[in-house]
Amino acid sequence: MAELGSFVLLLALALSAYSFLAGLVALIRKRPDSERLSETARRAGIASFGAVFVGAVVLVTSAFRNDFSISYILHHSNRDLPLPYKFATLWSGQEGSLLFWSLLLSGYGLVLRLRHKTDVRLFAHASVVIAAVQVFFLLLLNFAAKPFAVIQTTVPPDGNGLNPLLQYPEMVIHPPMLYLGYVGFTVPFAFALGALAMKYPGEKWIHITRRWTMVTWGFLTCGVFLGAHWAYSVLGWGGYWGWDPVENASLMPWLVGTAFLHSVMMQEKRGMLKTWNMWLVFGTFWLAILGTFLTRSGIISSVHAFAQSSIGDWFFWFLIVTLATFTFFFIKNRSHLRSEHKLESLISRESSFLFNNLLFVLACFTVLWGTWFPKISELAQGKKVTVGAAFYNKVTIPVALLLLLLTAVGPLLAWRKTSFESLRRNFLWPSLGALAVGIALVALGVKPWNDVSYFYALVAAMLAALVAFTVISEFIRGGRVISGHTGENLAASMVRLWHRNTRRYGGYIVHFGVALVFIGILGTPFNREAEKEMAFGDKLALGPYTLLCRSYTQEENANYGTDLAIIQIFKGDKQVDTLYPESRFYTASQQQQHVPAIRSTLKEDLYVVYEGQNQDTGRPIIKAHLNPMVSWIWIGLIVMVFGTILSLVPNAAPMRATVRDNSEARVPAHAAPVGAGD
Amino acid sequence: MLFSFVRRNFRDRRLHLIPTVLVGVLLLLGAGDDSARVDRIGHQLMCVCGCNQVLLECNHVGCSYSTRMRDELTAAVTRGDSDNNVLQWFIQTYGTTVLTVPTDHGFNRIAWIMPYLALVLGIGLVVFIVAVWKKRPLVVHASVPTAVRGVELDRFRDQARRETQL
Repeated sequence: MAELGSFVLLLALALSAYSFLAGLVALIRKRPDSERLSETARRAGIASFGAVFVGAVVLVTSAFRNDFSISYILHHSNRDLPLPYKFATLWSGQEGSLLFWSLLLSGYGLVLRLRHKTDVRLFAHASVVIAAVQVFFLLLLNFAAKPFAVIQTTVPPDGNGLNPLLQYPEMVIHPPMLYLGYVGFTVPFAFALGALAMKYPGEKWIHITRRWTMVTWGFLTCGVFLGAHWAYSVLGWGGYWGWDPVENASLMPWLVGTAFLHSVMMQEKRGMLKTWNMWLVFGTFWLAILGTFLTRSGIISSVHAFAQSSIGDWFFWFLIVTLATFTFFFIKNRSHLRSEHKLESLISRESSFLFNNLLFVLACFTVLWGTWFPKISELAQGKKVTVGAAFYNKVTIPVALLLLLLTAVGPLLAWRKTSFESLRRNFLWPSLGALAVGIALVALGVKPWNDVSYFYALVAAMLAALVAFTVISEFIRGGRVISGHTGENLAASMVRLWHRNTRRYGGYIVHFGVALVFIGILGTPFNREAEKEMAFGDKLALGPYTLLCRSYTQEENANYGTDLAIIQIFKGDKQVDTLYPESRFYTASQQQQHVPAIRSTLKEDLYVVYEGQNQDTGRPIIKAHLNPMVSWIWIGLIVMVFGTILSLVPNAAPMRATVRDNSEARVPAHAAPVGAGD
Repeated sequence: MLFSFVRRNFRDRRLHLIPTVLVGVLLLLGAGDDSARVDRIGHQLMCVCGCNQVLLECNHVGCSYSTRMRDELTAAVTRGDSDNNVLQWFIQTYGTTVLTVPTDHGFNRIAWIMPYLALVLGIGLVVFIVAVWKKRPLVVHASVPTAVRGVELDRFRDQARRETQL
């Protein structure tokens, strides 16, 4: 099996190298036979997917067959590992995850090459760029991080097992989502570089790229949030985002990618920000690779230590080469990227996009700055410092709140110029609603003058409400107009409204999801926790809950042994739940892991951790966290994904007005152009 | 008579109890204050075991540092050391990485200044760009207005649809 795996990876490298070189020669050489050469390059690219796919199948099969002669399987699996985690072995370690990356990239390349008739020349350029990136990853797989390396000693009877932190159901879907996002940004980058290199006329490439970017952005959003959920459910410290460098690495391309998704509309509608968009596409791709570099190089300390290795140098040089290549083509062809329109007013959709982009990029810079500052400090003053969550919370919250404000305001501004009357009409009721939410929260006991974090929470709640109300009012307003023309009910009219411009109204739903996420986050300042050594019958009070320790027990299966605490949860005198926090000991890896138990409601999460036993007294320690509103973060994610899917649906055919010969327009009653534009 | 003696004696005893209760209350208040200080300072310190967690949030199984560090922190606070002295002691013992955030003096101040500086510069840049773009001349072709028809009309309609809200 190992030989077959190694062979197909070598074959994939040869095919990708051919796809790159032949494709490049065909693009440079303008001879009649270039077209045929380009076609062979395309087919080689398609074939490379087959080779990488076989490689991935071989690795997964080896995990299922417990083939511990393969070093990777030995170190990341064991006989008693549950089957889903054996499948997840593919991305559980470095070599496997690089193979998985390569598989996804060749998969994206396959789709791109199969759709080449959309624009043969542009797709040929993009195909060459993708082949070049694929060559890099296959070089790594063949020479630096071999997934099919065979151990030289006697084959052990069992493997070392999977890292306990990774043995959680989300481990089966979180990394694929994240990788689909990371890898997917190669496609917009390939189109951008291709369009730049060939001085592509018009904005068609940006239409093609936008759809790819939205799909990729959706995957990355899922990946980032699932990572947060995984951290919350597994790490046991009661939080979901620790600003760890590897978490930051996933956030940075998401921020710049989100900026691009907004600013690309400026180029589509108004022919503006062409240079900026090029750099945003490149920046997103580059930051995705930088994230992998951070994860793999160990240059910055992280809790994701399981991913560290010596291939950081490869990524470093790849980053340099891609930067140099892109910069070269940008300098060479930048005259092609002139804006076509002027800006007419500060209060316009264009301005809001400019500020939106500023804030996204600034947020990315802040995260990047905080992530790298320990290294900068070490270089400048010879000593490292820690840049922890307190730093990020302090410097990113104001930016996040400004972004939330723009999320509410931006979509309701008109292109070119917005009148004050229009502003008043669109914002009066949403603003009053947001104000009412603020007053209600103060009346309920949120005292912003007591603590700056309460102040931020109150502002965030009001802004989230403003976003939600503006989205709802937009749907209702448009729905009413359509309903007035068609006689349909409001709900049906709103569905029709969405279908007329799926991107715009799908985007609004994404914004609504963002507001829900903020509602979830703003509960953080009100988190409470309590810890106690609890024997049988002991009680621990936290907020409205009383935890009663009923018993401790032990269980064992082939994969791990576990100490379980049985905690009854009371609210007043009524028992509302029983939680079973665990402390597991994994047999194969000889590692211990806490598994928190969570009682989740829309109002709050009760998060209980069995922290083990006090070394002095031998008594079990139970730690409980009361985290308000956390569920809304995950609900917000679902809404965001739903909105993204809705915005990918093709629009209904635009309605057309009929013009008479005498130039009098006769507009059919049902043809009100509601929902046009973005 | 007996009743008044008992009552007087009881009152005296209560009077004697007052200083004891006061000391107890003060001690309890002090204990509460100490625990708040431990909580506050403990959230300014990292566990140095490599788990990358705040000291008081470290739940790293079998952590060989956090228990010792918490004991050291509690001891220092109980001794009555000032917050600054406690933090300095931890820095000298475990190095500068023990603090959760960079200090706000010396070179480390740059860490705090840079994001805000970038925000101010960024806003300035956007305002500048808007101002420059507003002044940018728009190319206007002088021509006699004629009725727009056919493909050109479609193009204008398409543009209007893209550029308008309603």
